[in-house]
Amino acid sequence: MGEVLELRELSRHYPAQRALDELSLNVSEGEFFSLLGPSGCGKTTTLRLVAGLEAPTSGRILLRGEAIEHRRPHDRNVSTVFQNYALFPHLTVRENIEFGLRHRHGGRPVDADKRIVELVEMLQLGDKLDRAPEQLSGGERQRVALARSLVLHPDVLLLDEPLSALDPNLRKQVRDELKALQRRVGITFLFVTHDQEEALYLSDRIALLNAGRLEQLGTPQEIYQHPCSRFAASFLGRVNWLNGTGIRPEATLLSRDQPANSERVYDSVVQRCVFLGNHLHVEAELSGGEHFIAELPCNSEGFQAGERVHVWWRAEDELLLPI
Amino acid sequence: MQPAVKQPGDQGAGDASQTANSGLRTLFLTPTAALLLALLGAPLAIVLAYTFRTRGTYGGVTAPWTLENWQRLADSLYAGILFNSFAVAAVSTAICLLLGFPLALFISRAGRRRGLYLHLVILPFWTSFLVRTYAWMFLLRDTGLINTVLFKLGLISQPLPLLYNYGAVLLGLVYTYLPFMVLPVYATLERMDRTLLEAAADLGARPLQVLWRVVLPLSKPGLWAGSILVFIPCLGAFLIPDLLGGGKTILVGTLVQNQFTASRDWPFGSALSMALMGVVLLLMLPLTRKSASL
Ligand SMILES: Nc1ncnc2c1ncn2[C@@H]1O[C@H](COP(=O)(O)OP(=O)(O)OP(=O)(O)O)[C@@H](O)[C@H]1O
Ligand SMILES: [Mg+2]
Repeated sequence: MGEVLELRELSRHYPAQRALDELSLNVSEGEFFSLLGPSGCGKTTTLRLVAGLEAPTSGRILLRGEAIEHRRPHDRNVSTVFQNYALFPHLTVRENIEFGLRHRHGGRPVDADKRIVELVEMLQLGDKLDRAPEQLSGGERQRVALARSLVLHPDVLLLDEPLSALDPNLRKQVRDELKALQRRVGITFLFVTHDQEEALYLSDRIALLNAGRLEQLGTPQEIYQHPCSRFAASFLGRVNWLNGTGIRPEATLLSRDQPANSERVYDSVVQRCVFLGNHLHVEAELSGGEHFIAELPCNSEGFQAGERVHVWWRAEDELLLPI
Repeated sequence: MQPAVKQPGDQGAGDASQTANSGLRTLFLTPTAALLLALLGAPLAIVLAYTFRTRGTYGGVTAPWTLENWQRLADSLYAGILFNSFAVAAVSTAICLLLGFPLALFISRAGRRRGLYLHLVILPFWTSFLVRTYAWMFLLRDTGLINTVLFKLGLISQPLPLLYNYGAVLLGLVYTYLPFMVLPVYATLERMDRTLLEAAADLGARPLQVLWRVVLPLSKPGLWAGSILVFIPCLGAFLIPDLLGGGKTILVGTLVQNQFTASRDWPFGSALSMALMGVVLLLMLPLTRKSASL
């Protein structure tokens, strides 16, 4: 697979802050690539730099091998789905979708009508074409924003937390649709989110950002199983910590009897035991005061609060953090 | 308007607060409404009554009721003057649009300087309108600043006819009413969602295309409001046509004023102003509705 987008030591510094600091990464053709990180870590800044809505302090942006960091936004074959969708309120859905086609190099593409028909069908917007954006629901607006960008066949589609404006139920559904859509159109997605579950669910690869710097880059599995730092371990999923060693809650085991086959056994007291449907959520305090969470299979027997138990785990389940 | 979504439970509470609201509304609106009714409605009624009276010898009106004043309006002379006035007001409004929109755009993008520029736009209001108009006369007349300087520089041998023509009237009107265009347009530009402009650029529109396809359509409410605010006073203006047009350019405002002063024909002056008001109302009704709905 070829590289579509390459960032080389890309930085954006503000007088008071380094919003983005020497970020380097490659995004491959057709990839669903996520930028993940806490609020203010520079995700939106990265997208705006790629879109050309902001100028980098230093560094390069290569789109299909060509440097584009000095090009104006209208001159870059990338397209953005904004967080608030930014649909033009004075235009109908159809006019919104057609907006960018006029400005393509060499005029309106010959297959423009075909593209529109396809997308409108794929995104189920057929009966909404003559409406104004304000007459649409949140989910429909988002689909219009997607159609408006996808119809241009961008090299990379940039999405800034496109699901965050939707209510939680719709979010899950749209998330599935988004993934299916990406597979179907085969366009490279650069997706921004601060929601780790969303990132794990959707991404081929994730770049985890922390305070403007790249923390870790890899597939969801790589980052989850082999986090490179405490931050990475804690941001993707939960971790129990004991003397610098991390154990995932689902690898944390609980038993009333002394388990024979492990050296990693700690006396502790159950504080809470909650049945959460797909698993049993147990909170326990180790004798040293550490707070541990265990996620046990849902058919395990429950524990009483105040009960003395052994918390233990297998050595191979420990997260190995490079120091 | 009340919010569309209401909790079923607080129906009663909502109604109660609505009653309280309307009580408050009455309280706040009564003084203004009374003032408007007394100070606008009553004189209008008097003027309307005057249109059906006969002129007094030394001004004022006398007894016999008549329709003659309205019949005189049919004279093509007055239609011509009315047409001229509309043309002058329309051209002034158009010039204000052409100058005001870029200016408002510039100010809305001036960052921290915006406050300063807005003050500069409003600055002329700090001096009397009359004084400013006289100042223009001093600038424009044959022995005025502009002609004198050009003459001294040897660029002209005859003074340029800058004053007492339509050009001078237009200049005066545009100069006076430009702020009424700039301020509402600025207000809409200021409110405009910046991400829409970014989205347009992102979709491939060049800066001018963004302006034409997004900024301009979204500024419509401000452009309408500004146009109405400029057009109406331009239509009724009498001081500027009088002072800068030198009485050569008879516009309807000057005509009305003349009836009440030199001609001492109050009933006809009243009929003229009523007719003007009627035409303006007819014209503006659809426009105000449009600008409110935009
Ligand atoms: N115009 C600006 N001037 C100064 N600082 C800025 C500016 N824009 C962004 N920043 C700072 O840069 C940092 C990164 O901002 P950015 O918008 O990229 O964060 P983000 O990762 O998208 O966060 P969120 O998840 O909250 O959207 C923030 O700390 C922000 O305060
Ligand atoms: Mg952001």
